[in-house]
Amino acid sequence: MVLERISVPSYWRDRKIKYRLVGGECKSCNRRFFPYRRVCPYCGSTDVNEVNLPRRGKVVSFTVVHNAPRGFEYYTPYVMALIELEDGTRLLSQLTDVEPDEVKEDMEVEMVLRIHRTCGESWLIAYGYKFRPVLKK
Amino acid sequence: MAYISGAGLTKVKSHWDLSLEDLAVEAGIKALEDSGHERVDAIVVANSFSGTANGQEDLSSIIVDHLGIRDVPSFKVSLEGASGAAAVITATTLVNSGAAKRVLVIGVEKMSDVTALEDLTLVSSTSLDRRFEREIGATTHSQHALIMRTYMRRYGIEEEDFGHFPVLMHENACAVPHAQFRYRLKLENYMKSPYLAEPLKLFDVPAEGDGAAAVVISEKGEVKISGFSISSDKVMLSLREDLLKLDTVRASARRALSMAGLDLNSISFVKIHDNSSALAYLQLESIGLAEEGKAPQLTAEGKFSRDGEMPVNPEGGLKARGYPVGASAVYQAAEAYLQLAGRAGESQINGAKSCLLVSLSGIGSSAASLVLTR
Repeated sequence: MVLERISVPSYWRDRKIKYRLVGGECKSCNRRFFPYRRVCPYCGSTDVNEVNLPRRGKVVSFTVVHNAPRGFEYYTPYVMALIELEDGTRLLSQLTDVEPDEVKEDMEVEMVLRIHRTCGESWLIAYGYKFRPVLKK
Repeated sequence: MAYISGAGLTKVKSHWDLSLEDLAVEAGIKALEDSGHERVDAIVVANSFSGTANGQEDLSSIIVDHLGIRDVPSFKVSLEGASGAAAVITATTLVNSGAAKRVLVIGVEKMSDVTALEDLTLVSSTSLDRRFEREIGATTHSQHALIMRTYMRRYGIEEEDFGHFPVLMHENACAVPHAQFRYRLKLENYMKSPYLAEPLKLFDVPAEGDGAAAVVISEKGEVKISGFSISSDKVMLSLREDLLKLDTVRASARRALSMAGLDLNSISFVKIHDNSSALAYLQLESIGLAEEGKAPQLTAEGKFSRDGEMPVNPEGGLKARGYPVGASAVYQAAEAYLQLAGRAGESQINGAKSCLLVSLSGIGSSAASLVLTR
């Protein structure tokens, strides 16, 4: 399927957000959100700045994916988690460096840069954020 | 005012011998015959995945061509799982505005040409945010699972409690000829079904089957479209303020009821978009049929059974009637029409006068609601 292919320009365009957790900070309602967008998703203001979000947080909810979509079969089973960062911003991420049955709600996690997946005859690599249990407290 | 004046349905299943356009034509012809008319002023097609699953865009032109109708306005309305309700609402506004006297709405989805499970999972996950959900490994199932786990934690609900809904849907579908899964499901078998994305199990979600349904919307008819509303809001779960509140359902259902001048007490039965057991419970709570965290218990006690206080999905819902995604809400509308016209056969709710119908796109990103009355 065409859908499973990695579009180079699409990934390139998002590199800053996916490598550095760039979110938005709304000057109007003071809320933060991930990923960065031009318009605040909460109040509709366009007075939004880019902000580097904290790289630590905790697991709010998680799931172990068994029926992966095309492109992710190799990584099955993997853990998708909803994470709340230290400043309260939430994002969805895969967890890494942890066995699925060790994951718990409220587990403290930190961001690492990892391979999201590879694709195609030339094994194009898509990098991005994942989260792992905090190593040092 | 706009009315439903005829309906046509195909059985939901893997139609190996029928193409996307074959299915649409079959349902379209049935609905026209049922309404007693040959001519319509417009054709609205409801579909979600024809581009990704079938490689066919410009779908309404293709279907008009195959119906052998010439020189009629047509277009496709797409709102993922809520495409059918959005199409019925579009047709209703065409009739209400006087732009058309009679409109044929055909909902069609053909998923079985995508034969590999990995590809089907990919196609059905295209309603998620591509860049920050699907392309990092999320699937529709993983998103339902995140909500399900949150529900379990907040309300102290066990996995088994989610089984009550699919058990009810399978029970209801036994009496419905066009349903895909006409067999009873035992709670113990629900519990034995494999995890798709823990804690979400195989029997928590519907299978995306093939099917087409059609209704004729016209100035006169037996069942009135008394209220309608669509609400769109956040797609990404991480941006939602509360995972367990479906704001789009609450808003669209309330507006549709208010437009019809009715409240929940005057509704005879409800149709919801049970794209997972957890989302079914959240919808019942968001509509106001159950207090937060109480939908599983009320389901187990029989409140939503066909002979209960408020029947929900008397034909088996997405879970057991089957889930032809973009067509599913046309199925809901056609089934509600047959109920209100007293033509629902073995699944008939006696004396049904009004129906609240809710359908969703994605994980509730948008909700489209209709109120139908006799």
